[in-house]
Amino acid sequence: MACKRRSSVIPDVDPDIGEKVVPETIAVGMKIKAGQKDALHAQLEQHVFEHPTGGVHYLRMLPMDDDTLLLSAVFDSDINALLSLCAENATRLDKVLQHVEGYPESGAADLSSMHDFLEGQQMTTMLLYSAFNRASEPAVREATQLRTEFLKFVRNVQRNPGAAETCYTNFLEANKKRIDTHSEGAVDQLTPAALTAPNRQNPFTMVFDLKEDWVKRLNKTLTDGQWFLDNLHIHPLKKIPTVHYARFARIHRTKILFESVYDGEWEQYVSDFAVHIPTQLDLVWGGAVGYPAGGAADAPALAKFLEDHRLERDYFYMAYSDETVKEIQASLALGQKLVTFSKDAPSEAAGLVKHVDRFVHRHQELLG
Amino acid sequence: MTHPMTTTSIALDNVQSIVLRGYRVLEARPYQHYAYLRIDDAAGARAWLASMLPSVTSCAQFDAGGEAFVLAIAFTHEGLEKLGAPADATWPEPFTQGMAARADRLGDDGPSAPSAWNDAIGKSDVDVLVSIAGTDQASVNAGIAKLEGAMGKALVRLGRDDAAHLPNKPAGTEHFGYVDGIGQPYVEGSGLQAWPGEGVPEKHGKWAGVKPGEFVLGYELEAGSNPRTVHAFQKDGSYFALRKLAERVAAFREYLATSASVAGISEELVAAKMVGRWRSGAPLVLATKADDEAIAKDPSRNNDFRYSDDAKGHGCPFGAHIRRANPRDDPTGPTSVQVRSHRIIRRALPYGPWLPEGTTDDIDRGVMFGVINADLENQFEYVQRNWMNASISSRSLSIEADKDPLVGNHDGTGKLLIPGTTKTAFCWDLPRFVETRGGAYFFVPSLSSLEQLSNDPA
Repeated sequence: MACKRRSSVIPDVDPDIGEKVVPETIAVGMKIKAGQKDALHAQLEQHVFEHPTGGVHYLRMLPMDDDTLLLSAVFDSDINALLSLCAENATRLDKVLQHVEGYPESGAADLSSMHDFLEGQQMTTMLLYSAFNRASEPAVREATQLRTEFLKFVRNVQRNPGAAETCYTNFLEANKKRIDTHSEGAVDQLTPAALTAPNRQNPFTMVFDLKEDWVKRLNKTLTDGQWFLDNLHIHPLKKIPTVHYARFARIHRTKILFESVYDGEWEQYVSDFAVHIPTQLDLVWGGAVGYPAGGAADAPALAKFLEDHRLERDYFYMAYSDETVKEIQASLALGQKLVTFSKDAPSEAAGLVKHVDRFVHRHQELLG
Repeated sequence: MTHPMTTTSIALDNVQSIVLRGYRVLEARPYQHYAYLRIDDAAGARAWLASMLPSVTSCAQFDAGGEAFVLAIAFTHEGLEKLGAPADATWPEPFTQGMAARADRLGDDGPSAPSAWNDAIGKSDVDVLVSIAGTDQASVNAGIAKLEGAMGKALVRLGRDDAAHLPNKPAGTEHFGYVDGIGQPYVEGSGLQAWPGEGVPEKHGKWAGVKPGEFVLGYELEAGSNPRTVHAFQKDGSYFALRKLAERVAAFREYLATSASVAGISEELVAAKMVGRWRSGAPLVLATKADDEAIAKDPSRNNDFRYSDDAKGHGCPFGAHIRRANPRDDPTGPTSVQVRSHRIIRRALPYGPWLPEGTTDDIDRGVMFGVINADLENQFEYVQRNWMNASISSRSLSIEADKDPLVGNHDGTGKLLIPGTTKTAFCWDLPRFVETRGGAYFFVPSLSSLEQLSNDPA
């Protein structure tokens, strides 16, 4: 089916916020102690990470088939952010991890032992994709908050143009730091917000067996060419509007882990893959045992393949659980625009109303 | 005016007419009655059903015309169990659970929550739905007499709803003032005339029909390679989701006035932008600047549009009701492959009297809103959950946080972005204009399955 090429309405700019942060990731396979699988599962049903700390985008824990507990996370720059989150929630996390082999007796509160424990068992990450190029976790969170606040401000000005000056003063007072963030890169001073219950975002995790003759080929595909992290602008996953993160990791030679975080319905997620990037998917999944003969373009067969290999019982932590990819991308872009907006804002009401109207019209795609 | 010839592949003499007939504005019977019955005695109910069979209208009979009234019989899952539907037929979860249990997915919360449902349609002991439609009230009454005459003590009437075209308004007008029910799918093989724009957008301005299996069980689906299993009892049947939706007309009119003054545009334009059509029914993609009655009234034109011709939303806003409900080929929306497997047939008629201008809401009024589809979860519930009460499918915009401006389950904080060539406007603080008073999921058996049900299973 021929498709007309259409450009995306959101400018495809790199929403760099202040200092660039390269997202880091870790995937750890931990051996569950003999006979303790059920006890561990029971602990995973609890809300483990009650106390958010900055710097961790997401974290998931789930039992894999072979009595292994998987812990994986995406965090900013270095592993200290992840260790802090673990330490802050040590009481509950210890209850989970006491059921795996080699967990330090001092628990998650002991940063250095925890560090050695995690690093010692990690899998090789073959590819990490993030929809938010190098925006730190606090930057993402604060940008979405800033967008919400800005929309409130626009509403107040439009509903009561006479009070535009007061509205603007109030907006600036509450959000100056957030706007400055985008020009100064002071991201790590922001305090984390309380978590809300995840509802829009869903984790997907699967493990598949790789055919022997694909071992080298998959490695090359993921570390070279268009699937490679550094080529984000032409990355195939850029074409999927609902994927926050995606990652391939090697459990062992022919056993591969794939995980992602996506917005909304499973059916749509699969359909997006099948419609937008079927040939690119065939490049990475083509060597999987059980992959549909007709490739990813056969959406029902693709869905069945993914469902058959899906791991259930995800424990899932997301720092910004209520925002979709598009909202976050729009928020990050809007944050940058607001730097100029605030520099050029006239002080008297009439001018301010016009300034707001012009800005809204020009950047409407970030506000819908 | 030329239209492609249609072919008939569906067993129209076995499919009840409520499934594939009389749902488009011009073909709808203007008077409608719904009776909600409970089965107290299965044997007696089977005898009642046997006596009703000659009055049940098939699509073929509907086409032949001359009937006194159009009658349909449908069952909740409990109703089917009481009458002894084949034990080896499996039923999908939404149907066995019932509409009230699906409130989370449907956004039936707050004033729409099942705990607040007091009308008969929302009662948990409804087993049978009898739908009677007619060209006038007298013919509907004749159908009711037929229904009640044979009920005896085997069935108890739990309540009724009556709906009809509003007097002195164009056919299809609902209480907010819009002509409703224009955009409907054309079903391949239905034997109906296909109007441009009713099906699935194809290349070179053409439209294809939606596959019949999306509405009638046992036929080809849009996702052709993965047909669902259908029991012989379910073949030629369909699912009917019926909802009683109250419309807060005075609140809506007041909102239009406020929003128009804030946005600096006319009330009529605000009303049009919320829906994507002028109240006459003329679509904004075609009638961008002003209402156009000629387009509104012409079935060969009032649906013949694409969102690729309005990619920036300057005519029809991205968040407008009809752009959400059926995104067609919207380049900013979900893929066309997704759109074609989430279509629904709507049957809606108003209940309650028209509210005169300048008065406040006094009594309940709204629409009896029915949906025909073959897969409740993937069609009606999908549209309701993802496209009415969220829109996470947009590829280019971030309209996810906003809901359908007219029918979304708002809490007073929602907004609608109205893109324009020179100015961008907003509707702010959207309240909930439509509240669910009750609803249920019914299975509409084929005529042969109705007959099977009427026979003693022993």
